[in-house]
Amino acid sequence: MSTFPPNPDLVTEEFELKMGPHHPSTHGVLQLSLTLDGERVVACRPNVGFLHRSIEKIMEHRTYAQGVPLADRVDYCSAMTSSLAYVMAVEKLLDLTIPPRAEYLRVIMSELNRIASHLLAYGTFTLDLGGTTPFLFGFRDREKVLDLFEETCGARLLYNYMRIGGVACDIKPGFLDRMIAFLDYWEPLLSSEYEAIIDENPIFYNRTKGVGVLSQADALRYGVCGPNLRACGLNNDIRKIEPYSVYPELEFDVPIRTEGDTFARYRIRMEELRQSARILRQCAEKLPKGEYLARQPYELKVPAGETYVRIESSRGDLGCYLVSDGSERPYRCKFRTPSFSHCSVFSHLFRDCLFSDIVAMSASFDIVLPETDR
Amino acid sequence: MNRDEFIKAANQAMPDLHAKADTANPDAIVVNSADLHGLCLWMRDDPAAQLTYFEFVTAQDWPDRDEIVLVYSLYSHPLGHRLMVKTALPRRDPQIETVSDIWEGANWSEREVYDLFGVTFSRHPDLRRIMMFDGWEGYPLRKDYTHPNLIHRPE
Repeated sequence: MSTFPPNPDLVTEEFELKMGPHHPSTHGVLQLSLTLDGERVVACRPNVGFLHRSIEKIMEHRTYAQGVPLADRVDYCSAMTSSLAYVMAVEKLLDLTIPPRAEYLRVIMSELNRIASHLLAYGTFTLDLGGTTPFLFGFRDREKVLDLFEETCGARLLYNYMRIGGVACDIKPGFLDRMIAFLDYWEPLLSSEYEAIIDENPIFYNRTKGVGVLSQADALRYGVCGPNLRACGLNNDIRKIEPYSVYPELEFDVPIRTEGDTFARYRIRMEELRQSARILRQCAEKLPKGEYLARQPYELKVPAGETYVRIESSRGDLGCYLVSDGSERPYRCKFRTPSFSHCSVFSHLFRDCLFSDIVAMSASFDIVLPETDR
Repeated sequence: MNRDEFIKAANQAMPDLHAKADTANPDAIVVNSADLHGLCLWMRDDPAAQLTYFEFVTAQDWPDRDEIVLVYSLYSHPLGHRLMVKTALPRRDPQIETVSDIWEGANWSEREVYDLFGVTFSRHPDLRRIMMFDGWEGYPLRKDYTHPNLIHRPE
């Protein structure tokens, strides 16, 4: 329940509780310094940085091509999209044209990765609220997506699939048939299993509806983006507002809700899963024949200059700001990551609420800590 | 608005600003560090700018020019345009006024620049290290940063 009648006779004392960095519902190594008054949260100070691997510093010492596997590790739950932002930034500085087949393969992999990532978000979100069965649903079908990745590039988590100028390898014969077979199997399950088990569930409903309401103005102030901002009623999908790759050729809708609460954030992701499936079906029909990697010199030197490219990753507005000094290594490479902004909004949102709601709220933001800390 | 229109409008609104187009980045303008806070207020509140969405602030370290260049990236959802603002600070004791009172999202982003580049943001409400732990020495993303555990690869 979101409301809790205060008892005037009960005298309680405020105390500090450090939730995390090793807490199952912080989805990684986030630490929340909570000031509690009984069950009520008075203030929250999120501490991040426990997973800082200085990816940006390491990149300055590696060539541009060697940066791709590092970019994968920025967001390891959605590695295809985070390396896509990096290679797109390099290509923009090089002014390189990508073969159409490679563009489609990139979109296919990005959307499959969005499905895998949202299924993970769905699973862990429901697990945090005490539902083990939906968690298993999510992971059961996520495995099938990871199988598709594994047959393409040999990896299930960190794919190293994007390349400057295209992708690392073509898809295997029959990949599209297997992908469509997966979608045919999985799409009906969205309503018959995923949503059926929790959407009408009174416990789930009470713990999410009206809980953790974020206004659009506050969300913008903190730089909240992606599905979490769309749950506040703003269309900020980069695939629509600053289209990249072949997204203008594909038909899809951007789900928007106006409530801004935990339930809305969950619903946006469920609708996005359907839209991703819709995009994938179109890609399977339209995938052109041809090269999957543009020709380029063996020793890649990027002209001096700087650029900022942003894409819609599974969690939102993921940007890569790249500075080149004309050598074969990036002078500066900065990733603007959605989870960084989402963690910072917690200090605003986790105030004057119940302690048990913290778990539901933080899970609904779908934060991924490696992306916050880089 | 595109970049040239921004420069024109900003210079008109603030005659002492002297904003210029950046040579390296087609989206960026360059201003003096002392004028940055006033410009940011104008950019957020001016009806023709409405840059309400703060994307990030980051820095570039240029030891040969003895400069740390701050880069602010902003976007406007209602008007669909973007702008980057660059300003140069001296490498020795770089200081600038915070913009976290204008966009709350700048709070953590500025902490990151403070942590990794050693830029001090005056009037910042909570200027602590964010990635490295308290008591860390040096600023890792500076080009001349050294650490005993940092081994350079042979060429």
